[in-house]
Amino acid sequence: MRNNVPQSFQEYNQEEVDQLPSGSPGKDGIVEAVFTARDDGMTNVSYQYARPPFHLMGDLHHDEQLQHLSTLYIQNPSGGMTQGDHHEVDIKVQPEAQANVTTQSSTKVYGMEANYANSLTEIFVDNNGYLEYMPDPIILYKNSRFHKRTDIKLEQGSTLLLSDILVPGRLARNEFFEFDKYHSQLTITYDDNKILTDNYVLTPENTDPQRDGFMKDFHVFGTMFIISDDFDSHEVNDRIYTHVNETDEIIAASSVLPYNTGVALQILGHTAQSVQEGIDRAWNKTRNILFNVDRRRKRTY
Amino acid sequence: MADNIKTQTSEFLTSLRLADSFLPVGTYSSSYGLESFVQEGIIDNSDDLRELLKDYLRHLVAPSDIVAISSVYDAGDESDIDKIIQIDNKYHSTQVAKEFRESSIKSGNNLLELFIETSDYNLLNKIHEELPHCHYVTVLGIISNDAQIKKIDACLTHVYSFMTELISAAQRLFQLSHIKVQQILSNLQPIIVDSCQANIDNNITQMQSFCPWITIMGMKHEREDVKLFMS
Repeated sequence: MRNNVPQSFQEYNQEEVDQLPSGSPGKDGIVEAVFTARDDGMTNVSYQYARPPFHLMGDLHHDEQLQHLSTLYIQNPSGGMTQGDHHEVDIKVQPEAQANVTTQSSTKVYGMEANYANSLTEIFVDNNGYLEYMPDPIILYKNSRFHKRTDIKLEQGSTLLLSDILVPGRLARNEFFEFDKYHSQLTITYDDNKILTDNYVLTPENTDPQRDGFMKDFHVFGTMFIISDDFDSHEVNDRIYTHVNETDEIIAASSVLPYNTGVALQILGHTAQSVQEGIDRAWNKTRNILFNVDRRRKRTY
Repeated sequence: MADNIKTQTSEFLTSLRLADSFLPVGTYSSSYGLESFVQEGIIDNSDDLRELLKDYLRHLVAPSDIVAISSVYDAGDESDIDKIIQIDNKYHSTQVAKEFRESSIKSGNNLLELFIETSDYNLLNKIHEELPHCHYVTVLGIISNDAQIKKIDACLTHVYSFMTELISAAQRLFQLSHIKVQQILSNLQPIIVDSCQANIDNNITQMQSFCPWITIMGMKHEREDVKLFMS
């Protein structure tokens, strides 16, 4: 309640500022998109749906390296995730289609006093489909609580590049690991084989993340999975490892995934930019191997 | 009463056998990335080693291996081989570092073959045929349960022997006196108990691990030019 309020505004001043409860419009965002290849090889978005706070423009064909590839930016003008927010992203790539899905900016998860924020991402890539799902980093503000779940199903012959960067606070203002809790769950099946299960909970209050076995003196953690049955995983692993380690600002290593279905890359760095550069190097090298082209230049619209 | 003492003594001795470095399953050839920590100059003394082992224990072994062993016990009690196959597959999918995965499969198969040769458990051949990977924790759970070792004791046996294998690896990598080794083990003992108790009731969906620096060192180990250990 404010003091010294004029009579004309007294009525308003009696009202408590209640936050929108979870589940109300603007709190439960949904994105759905289906990518389909045309007979001439060009991929288009054949279906899309967005519920606020998400917003979708049409897909773009601005990738100068892969001209048949469709790029879709998931837009969120709300600025970030607040307590009680629930986001769902559902991406389907049909046979032979080629798509890149990304965001316009980092996902900021704000500090919370009640409840938590969560996001569920479901991805399906059909036979010989190709998807790059490479969102911008997630930034966990002080006192934020975030549950992120990603379920991926890949059919035979399909290829997926999946990246993820976790930034544990607003680093430039010396906010490190002050979030309440972060839970990440990822499952990937390839041709009905469970090739990857990644599940972890970070609670900085209970465990100092900067211990030797954990993240040491690094802050930012990045992962990238390059999954396909269409290449020699060991050869791709060797080339990715070498190329990513040509920069000395990060520490990075990669290994071959179960059933030789691709490569897992893990990166630790001091800044989101340095980790992003490592991921961009892996992205570039993968495109070199698969298509003999480079990654596209970053153009966020 | 005498029978009871006989059974308990037998279970205890089987636990000792499973934790003994005499057990010829090849775990002595694994360092789970520790060799790279030493080669990169990150650890070179007993204090660093003790703190690093706490991370292995709390964030790699306990929340993953203990949950797997405990789940195998539950499935074994119900004679549910499909569930055990599911646990073996699930554990396989959590192992992103190739050498960690291969070390676990190699020692698991060795353990299973050893007990086929040396025990009366007649289902082991069938299990060997049906299990997709035979990860060490899956096999250890099956064998310990059959030997009527209590679930908590099987978990403690595994974690303790994992720690001693890593310390034994460290002894071969840098100078570490036997007194220091015992100090580390004494220091780790309450953490071993707490970590087992904290994870033993978790179900298979709660299996987790997160220790990027250890995983990265495990991946880097694949590329070391000269190495003593297979992981």
